[in-house]
Amino acid sequence: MGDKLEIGAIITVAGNAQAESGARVPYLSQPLGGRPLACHEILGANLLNRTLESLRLSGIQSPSVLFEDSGCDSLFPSRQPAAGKFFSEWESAVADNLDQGVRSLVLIRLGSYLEIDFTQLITFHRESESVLTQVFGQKSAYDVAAVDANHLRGEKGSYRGRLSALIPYHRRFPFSGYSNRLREPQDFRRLAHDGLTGRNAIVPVGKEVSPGIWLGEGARIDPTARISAPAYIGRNSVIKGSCHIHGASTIERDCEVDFGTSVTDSSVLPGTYLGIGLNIVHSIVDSNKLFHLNRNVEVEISDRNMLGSKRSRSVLTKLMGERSFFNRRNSDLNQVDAHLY
Amino acid sequence: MESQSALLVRLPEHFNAAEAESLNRELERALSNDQPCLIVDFSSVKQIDARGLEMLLQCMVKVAREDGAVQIGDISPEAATILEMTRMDRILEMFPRISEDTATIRIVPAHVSMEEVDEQVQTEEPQPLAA
Repeated sequence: MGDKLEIGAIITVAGNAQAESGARVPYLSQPLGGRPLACHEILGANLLNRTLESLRLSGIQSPSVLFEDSGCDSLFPSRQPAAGKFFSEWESAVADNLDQGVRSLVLIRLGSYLEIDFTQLITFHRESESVLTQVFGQKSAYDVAAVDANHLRGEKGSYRGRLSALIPYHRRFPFSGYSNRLREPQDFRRLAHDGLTGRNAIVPVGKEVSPGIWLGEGARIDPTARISAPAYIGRNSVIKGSCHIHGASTIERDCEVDFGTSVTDSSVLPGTYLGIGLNIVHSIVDSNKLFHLNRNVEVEISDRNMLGSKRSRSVLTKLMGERSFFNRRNSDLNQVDAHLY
Repeated sequence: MESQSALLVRLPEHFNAAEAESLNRELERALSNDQPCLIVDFSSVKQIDARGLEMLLQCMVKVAREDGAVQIGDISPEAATILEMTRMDRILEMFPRISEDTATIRIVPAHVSMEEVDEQVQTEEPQPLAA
């Protein structure tokens, strides 16, 4: 678009405890560490960064990014009666955009994943002379909208109040592209799977070393390990000997998969250590927590030699190494590693 | 395989080192006969630690040496996940099936001390075995 400075954007990162409808999501927060879904990496980059890049490509350069607190679970904060830090931040973000002279303001609530062409949305919004345009799927609305900035300007009341007054006059922007509401861990896994199999536009961060096999920078794979396409091994991750990664599995950055472990149709989140000889199937693993997607159950493993964070294991290994029977020096250990890779 | 009786071991919700040790001592006595049959009930299990898994493995080795059988009874999704992750489910599948004609089933509660076990070991009617 030519008028880059005339489009602003506010991205609200949805909290993990509630879905777009406001309903409790029982399995979401625990297996994914209680962090907002938009902050979890999928194929090397999180959804927030992917959305920022998508906006940049549409000519929207400096979106405001806000994180929801417990008082808000909606795209339009004006619907919430309570006041709080989030609401004041939202008001400031709108004011900043208006001060910069934007004509249209894109509002995005990152709870679900949506492959939308923001240029098309803005074009539709302007050509239809709509004051507020919200994206709609076949069944319900998505948390993406464009609002005419002139209708937010004024001297009295809050921006939330003015936005609220526009809701009855909204137009629908029909959307039939790829979407994932990310309500359950299964959705999260499906998003990664679809990215690897080309069903969505998520491009793995790294290099495609052979058809369907992507490696992040600094990823190391032992020659005796088998990686079956499609698969993703993230930045600085290590796959040791006799491992088998298959079933469109993703190993995000800074992970270690130890000798003989098999990973099938699973996502391993950043910084996770998988112990020796394990069989990870249909799961999301985040440090010492494993969520089994078919059984809909989470198990927490207390033995760090089995599952855990790679960082804590490194410290443990170092401590044990100092008292080990072999008492090898670090330089010796480095030589062993050098031979492995 | 033919067998006169089987031991049913009901594992507790948290099968940790202490529970494993207690059960191990009890099974030392109970598995002394030839061709022992062991049914492990995982239905209450939410967590198994490394010591618990090690004990289960030792138990399977003992039973295998006596040409016996180990079989999973009811199982919780958490326990099924842990057994699958550690590949112990595959080891258990190698044992011969315990006959459904097994005459009696003695229950060994894994969550009580040795003394209590002596009093609570009981005989029950045969129970259906989970697949």
